[in-house]
Formats: sequence, C-alpha cells, structure tokens
Amino acid sequence: MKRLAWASLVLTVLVGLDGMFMIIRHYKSSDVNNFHMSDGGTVVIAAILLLIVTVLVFVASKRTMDPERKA
Amino acid sequence: MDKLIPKSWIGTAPIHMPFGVNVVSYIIIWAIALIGIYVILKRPRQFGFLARWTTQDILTVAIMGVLLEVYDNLIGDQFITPLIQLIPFGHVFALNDFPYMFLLMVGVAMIRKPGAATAMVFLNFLLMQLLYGGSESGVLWWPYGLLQGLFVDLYIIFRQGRVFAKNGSSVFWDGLAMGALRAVPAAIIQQIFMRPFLSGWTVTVGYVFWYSLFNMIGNGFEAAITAPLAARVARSVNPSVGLDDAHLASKGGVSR
Repeated sequence: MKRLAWASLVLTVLVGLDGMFMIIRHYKSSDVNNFHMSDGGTVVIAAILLLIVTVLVFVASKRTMDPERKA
Repeated sequence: MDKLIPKSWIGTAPIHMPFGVNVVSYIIIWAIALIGIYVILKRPRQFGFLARWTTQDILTVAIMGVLLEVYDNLIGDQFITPLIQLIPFGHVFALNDFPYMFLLMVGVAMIRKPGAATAMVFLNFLLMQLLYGGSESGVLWWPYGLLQGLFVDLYIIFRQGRVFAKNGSSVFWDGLAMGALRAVPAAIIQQIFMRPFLSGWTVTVGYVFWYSLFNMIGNGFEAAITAPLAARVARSVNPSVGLDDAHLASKGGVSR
C-alpha cells in the first residue's frame, strides 16, 4: 500500500506540473470544457483529484501498517 | 470518415433501421450491460476464486481512472493523436491508444479481479462526460462506457482470475484478448445501434466492419505488447501481485 501511495504521489506531481505548464504557456486557452476551464485548468483539476486519492492511500497505508506494528 | 479509412472501402449506403428496432436494440444493450455487471459481481464466487475487493483495489481504480482520463482526453487527444494522424492507418489502428492500453493493463494487473476493467473504464467515461459533455453526454450513453470494460472482466472470469498470474507467453495472450475485447463489441454496438438512435449519426456497414476490425487488432496488440511491462510495474508497486492465491495461502496469506 505504501508503494502505491508513493507512486500515486509521483504521478500527482507530474500531472500537476503538466497542468501548470499548460496554464503558464496559455496552451489553447480559448478551448474550454463544460466548466469554462482550459485544458491546463482541467489537468490541474485532475491533479487535485489524484492528490485527494493519494492522501486517502497514505491514510489507508498508515492504518494497515499500525495494527502490524502493534502486533 | 474518409480520413480514417479509404472511401472505396466503406461504401456509400448508411445503416438505417426502423425506430422500433432501434428502441428494442437499445433496451437489449442496457440489459446486456446490467446482466454483465451482475455476472461480474456474483459469478466469481461460484467459480471459487478470490474476488473480494480490498481498500487498495478501490483506491487503485480511482488513481487509474483519473490517469486514463488525463491521457485519453487531454494528453492523448492534444499531443499524441495529431502525430498519429500523420501515419497512414495510424488512427484507425488506434495507435494513439498505446499509453491508454498500457495504463489499463497496469490497473488490471494490479487488481486482477472481475470488475476492475469496467470500474476503471467507466470512471474514465464518467469524468469525460462530466468535463467535456458534448452530444454524447448523459446517462443514455452509459452502456457504451460499461461495455468497453465489461467484456474484459468477463474474460477475467473466464480465466478464473488467473490473468497475469504467470510469466511467459500467457501474459501476452491475456493482453491480446483483453485489448481486443475492450474495442469489440463495444465499438460495433456504439456505431450500429447507439449513435444512430441517440444522435442520428449513421455510418455504413463497411465503415463499421473496417473500423472495428482495425481497432480490435490495434487495441489487442497494444495491450499484448504492453502487458509484460504492465505486469512488471504492478509487481513493483504491489509485490504480492502475480502470485497465485494458492501460493499466497501456502506462504501463510499475504494481505492485499
């Protein structure tokens, strides 16, 4: 579980950097989605979703590790 | 349309079915999707192999679903597909799906339980509908999102949960079958029944045949080629992946 958490964190950072890069470079800024967000903004939202999942994975990994340590 | 497949191959007469036939077909498609989900949920227990989902499996679906969406609608469509379109037959062979099939195979290899493919592909489909909408948005289109993963999961049940269980050529063949089943029959159902009925977009029999055939071959080989690497990645993230449950039991049981 901990490896999954770290892998997820790395992917979150990469997706977030991609989104930030697209925003900074104004990549197709007029090409918007349902929420009037550009592609860069959408990638950042995806990174935030991944970040939420990553936090959940870290919490879950800590919970699975704690009983093992107590035992 | 003729950019993908030569015009002389696809013919000119589009498929037109009576409204009643379209309605009945649509209901049958929903029934197939729902029965398929029921089989995925209930059948593995009857076969007697491990099918209980863990917290890790659910979190893996969440991660892979978001990554599939990021690739499918953003990185793939923006950067990869324009390059692939320069290659003759590249787009119809779905060469732009190469990373997508790799991610899907990583997810399947990590979870290795019926329902994994449907859950990941459908989450990707829901995110796409939420963010981009368009003419193919809404609950009415859900069967297409479900059917892309459903047949992959039925294959996992058919293999009794032993996909990616061993190294060697079986990983390649598992990938080939799952990649092909991701493309067909979902593409055929979408183009013959769903699009004409829900959006009035019609194509010819020749187009459906060639598009589905090329997609099936493309997705199949993409999954087959990337499957060994996907299994390796899955084992790196979760070392207990790829070991048979009997092997795990003999080791005293490893928590997944």
